[in-house]
Amino acid sequence: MEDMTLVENLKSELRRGTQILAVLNQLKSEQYGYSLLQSLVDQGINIEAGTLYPLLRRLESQGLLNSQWDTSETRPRKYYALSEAGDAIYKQLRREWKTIVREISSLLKGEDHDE
Amino acid sequence: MNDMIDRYVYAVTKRLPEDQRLEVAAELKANIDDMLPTNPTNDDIKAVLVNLGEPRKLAAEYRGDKSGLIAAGWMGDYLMVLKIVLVIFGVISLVFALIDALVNPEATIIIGIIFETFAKVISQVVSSLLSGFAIVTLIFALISRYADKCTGETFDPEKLSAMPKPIGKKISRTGALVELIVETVMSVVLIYLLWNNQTYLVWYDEVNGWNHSLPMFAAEVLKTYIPLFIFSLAMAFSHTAIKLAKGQWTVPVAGVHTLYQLVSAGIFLGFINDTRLINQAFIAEAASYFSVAAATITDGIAKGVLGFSIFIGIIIAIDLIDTWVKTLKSAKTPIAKP
Repeated sequence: MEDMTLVENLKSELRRGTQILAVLNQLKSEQYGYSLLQSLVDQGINIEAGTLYPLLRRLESQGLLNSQWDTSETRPRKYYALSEAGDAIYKQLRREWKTIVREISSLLKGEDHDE
Repeated sequence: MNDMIDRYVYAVTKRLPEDQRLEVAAELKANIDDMLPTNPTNDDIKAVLVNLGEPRKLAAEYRGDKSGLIAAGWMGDYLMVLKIVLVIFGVISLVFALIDALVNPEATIIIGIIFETFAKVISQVVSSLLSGFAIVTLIFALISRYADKCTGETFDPEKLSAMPKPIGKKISRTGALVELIVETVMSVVLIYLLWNNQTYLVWYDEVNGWNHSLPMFAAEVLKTYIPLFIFSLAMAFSHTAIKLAKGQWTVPVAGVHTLYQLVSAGIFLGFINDTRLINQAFIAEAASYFSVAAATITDGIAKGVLGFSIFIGIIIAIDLIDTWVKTLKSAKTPIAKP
């Protein structure tokens, strides 16, 4: 039981950074919370609503996203899109991600045949 | 109509800083609406809320807290309780330290008493705030360490607590006006009495009839208090004006209310505790009439005044605690219509 929660915690920590990358990637065109959640899930990205919504707000407060309320529809919705700064940061993160994948893959390659 | 969504959104936003509540509430509601099918059933709503997770944890995500002594998931609750406890401890220790310092001064001259009172009040308030902080922090450190491991319960949106009645935060216009009228009448009567010094001791005497009379108070001491009471009345007017204009218990309004209560109580307590107030000739006369020592009468008056002062202190402490609990706890910002 203790081990299970530990594993879960470590897994979600590992995921956390990649989720930001995924969100930034999807917000080149503006989306509202639920539509973004749907499009991420459709593309096989595992993220929970309870993680995504607060994350959007945090990224906005850090200046990576812009947002605006659309009140013209019957349901008011808050739309998010990548800001200029967010776009620059996204490109750096993408480069970093590729480096990490390369480094960790080469590290893990050594033991692939052990399993 | 089921208010589970409102209760859920409230349970999340009450754990967030005040300036974020409106926006997060509006967005969260919009998101929940998006996640629901048209004409959702109770079970649909429940499923969406369970999917979003416990309000405490969602609030922690919004706050973006890092884990520390108090786990991120408990930070919102911790800050909420801490605020209320500090206000209560602060008010109680302030009132009691003031009474204690004013009733039992060690210094003999006025300036000494003022400094002594300041020092005593500050040190007592600081030490009681520190102990309040320590108690709350310790309790929450234990809760955040052990609670999550003990409760295997899953989150049930049905059990979310009811929304507080928004009326609790509103300032009643009639109440504020009645309060002002009573304060004005009492102040005017008091100032009039002080000015005219009409409180005489009169008693019937077999030989002379109704003619033994002596002013009860020392006139020149009484008159020094008149400007203070007028100041207190002016404060009553301006603080009622602020309450009526704002119409809601916000932190600044509660602050003004607290300031007014403490200053006016300070003036009044200083007044009734002033031993120079009673005419010495009056005490001597009364003592000889009742055939007791003058000290007995002075003592009796001092005890009465002390009891009355403590009574006033308690009333004011209750009022301030009630005001701050109302202001902070039910500090619920209405859901924005963006």
